[in-house]
Amino acid sequence: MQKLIKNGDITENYWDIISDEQAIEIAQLKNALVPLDLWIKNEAQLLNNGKVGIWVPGDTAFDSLPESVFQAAIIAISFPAFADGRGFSLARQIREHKDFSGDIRAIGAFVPDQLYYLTRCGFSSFVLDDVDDSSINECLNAFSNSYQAAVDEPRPLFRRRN
Amino acid sequence: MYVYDEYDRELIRERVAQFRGQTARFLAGKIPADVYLPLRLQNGLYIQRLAPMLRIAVPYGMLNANQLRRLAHITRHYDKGYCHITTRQNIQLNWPQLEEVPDILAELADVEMHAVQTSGNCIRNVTTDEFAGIATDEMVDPRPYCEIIRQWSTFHPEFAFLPRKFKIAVSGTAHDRAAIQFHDIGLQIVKNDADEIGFRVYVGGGLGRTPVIGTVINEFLAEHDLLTYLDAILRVYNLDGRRDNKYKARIKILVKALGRDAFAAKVEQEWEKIRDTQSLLTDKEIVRAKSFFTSPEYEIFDDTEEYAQLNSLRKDHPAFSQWLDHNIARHRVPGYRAVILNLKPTGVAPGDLTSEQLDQIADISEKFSFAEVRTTHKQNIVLADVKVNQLYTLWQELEQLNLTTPTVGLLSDVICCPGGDFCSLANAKSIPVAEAIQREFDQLDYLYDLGGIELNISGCMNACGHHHIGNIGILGVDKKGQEFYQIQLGGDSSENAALGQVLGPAFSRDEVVGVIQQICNVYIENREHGESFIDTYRRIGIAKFKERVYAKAH
Repeated sequence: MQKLIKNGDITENYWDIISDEQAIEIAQLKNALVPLDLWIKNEAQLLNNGKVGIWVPGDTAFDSLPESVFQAAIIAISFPAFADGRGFSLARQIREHKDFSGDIRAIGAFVPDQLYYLTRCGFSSFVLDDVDDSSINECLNAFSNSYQAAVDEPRPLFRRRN
Repeated sequence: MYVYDEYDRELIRERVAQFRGQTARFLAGKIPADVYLPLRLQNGLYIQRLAPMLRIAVPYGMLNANQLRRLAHITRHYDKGYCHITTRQNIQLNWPQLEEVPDILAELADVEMHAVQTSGNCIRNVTTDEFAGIATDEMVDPRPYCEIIRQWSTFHPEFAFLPRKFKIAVSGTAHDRAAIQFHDIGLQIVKNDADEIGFRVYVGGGLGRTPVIGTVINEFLAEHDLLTYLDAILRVYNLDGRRDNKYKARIKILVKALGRDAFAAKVEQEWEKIRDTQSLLTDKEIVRAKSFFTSPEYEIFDDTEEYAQLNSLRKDHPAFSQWLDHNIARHRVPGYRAVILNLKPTGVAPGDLTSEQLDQIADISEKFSFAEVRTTHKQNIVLADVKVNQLYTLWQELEQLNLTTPTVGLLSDVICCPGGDFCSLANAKSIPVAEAIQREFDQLDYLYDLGGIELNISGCMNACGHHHIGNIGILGVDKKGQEFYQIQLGGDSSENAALGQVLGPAFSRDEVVGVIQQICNVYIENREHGESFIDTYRRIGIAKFKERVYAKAH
């Protein structure tokens, strides 16, 4: 079973990722992350359903996202490979250019050792397979400070240094 | 030089702990090798042909005596008693044990050093002019900006998984000694009409398989905007750089594909959104960064008088006289000179230093140069602040260390990658080629007559030996399992940036020295009025060289 890491807690992940081809009943959707096309087609209905979020591939261009996306409770960004760092920039753009205050969730092929940087870039929850519980905290809290500004700390160290 | 405070120390200690944990999990089988790969690379650790290789960062080339001594200890205790200076001012160990690398990093952290982001697809160590702060032609000391960039790029959360590696260099002089036009970003410090400091920003330069000279995308970036603008460039690259083909993944390919204007417009568009954030540099931070690079306590001398005394020693000590003419650089303060320790004596792999030399250079730096040295991209070491009246004593001490070969900047001062002797990427060996050239061209009078020639050797097209920008470049290639060497002419790493042109079909290793000799002959026969090699080449072109070399070969 996949795990969901959120606010430092590790729980079972009960969120489904809906694919484009899947036949689904929009009204029945619960704890589901839907693809962009489906979201756009059923915007009005889905916006009122707090148990539905959206997921986008990590190579999605920020400028291609319609405004309604930023009203979702969850935006999940899917990493095609852990070494593909586009999702880091996309999350920052969503947080910093849109002041998005919902949940940004990392899904896909990222790895636990990226948790600290992902958090700094604005990710607030993470879905992982095969979690080694003992190392998750280590990964989440790799550093206690940072030089440069990011979502978690908009002031670079040079503005905070004594 | 920059001194860590508690923030810097804590970050580096936490990095060591992080990598120790990652390595332990890898060795316990809890991290797969393909995931551990970028983690170890971002701590400087490669797996090489014979053993792992650890690349230690030397931020913009600055080292103090303590750090040299610690490096001496590390090379002695964890390695085979020597290390190698790279073309990006870093230091490489060729024989560390993987299990011991966390301990090596902890030893480095004790002396405010690390191996952070010296490899991998992230922002690498920032480099600059080895004569920063003392050059007679310097407009502004680039090192405070290098340190600001170092801190900004260190553990940058957004740019640790870029399409490919990313290198930044800064120059504070119009005469470029940092090859900034061959970096992913090159920053030329300039002043505007109001005498304000800013940067001319070059993007998309680089060597490797597809060598490209950088393109200017901003003629004057105001000083305070440095970091937000860098963030914007990196974000555009991170999002739009190619990831489908590692050979087309560098920013130079993106800049070429979009064209200068479209790329610059994308950067501007992103920058507009972030330029007024708190990453805007403050006066306080610039002043703080500059406070680490103030002038040491120079004494006051009459330069002419001091130098006259030195000249009187020349007659009785011809070797000293040659060293004085070739291994010394001018200094902005009267009565001082910079001294280049030549790491290219024949029989030693170019850029290599032993543990003993490291220890003794530490002692010498304390005695003669305010306890600091710099590494250079030409793989030598510089003592930046030596009193003219101590040059003779210094020369005597350096003689004992085999660091006074009076050939700096000449044909035998070869830039050379570790090549097939160590590197698993190499197609051919490079060190034996360098040695063969040094053995053939061992007559000082002849080398002096040839004058300044940059000869650069790379063992493969990844171009760590910068062969494209040597006046003479040699590239090791593989032809059906045999090592061959392609020769290029006309490269130039300075502000007159130029890429070398391929002379023609490659040669066997035995032929290389003869070909270099013929190239030198063509130069000597054609030069006019003391013209340098590169100027002659530019005037007469490659054809004459080609004719001679291939006429005789067949």
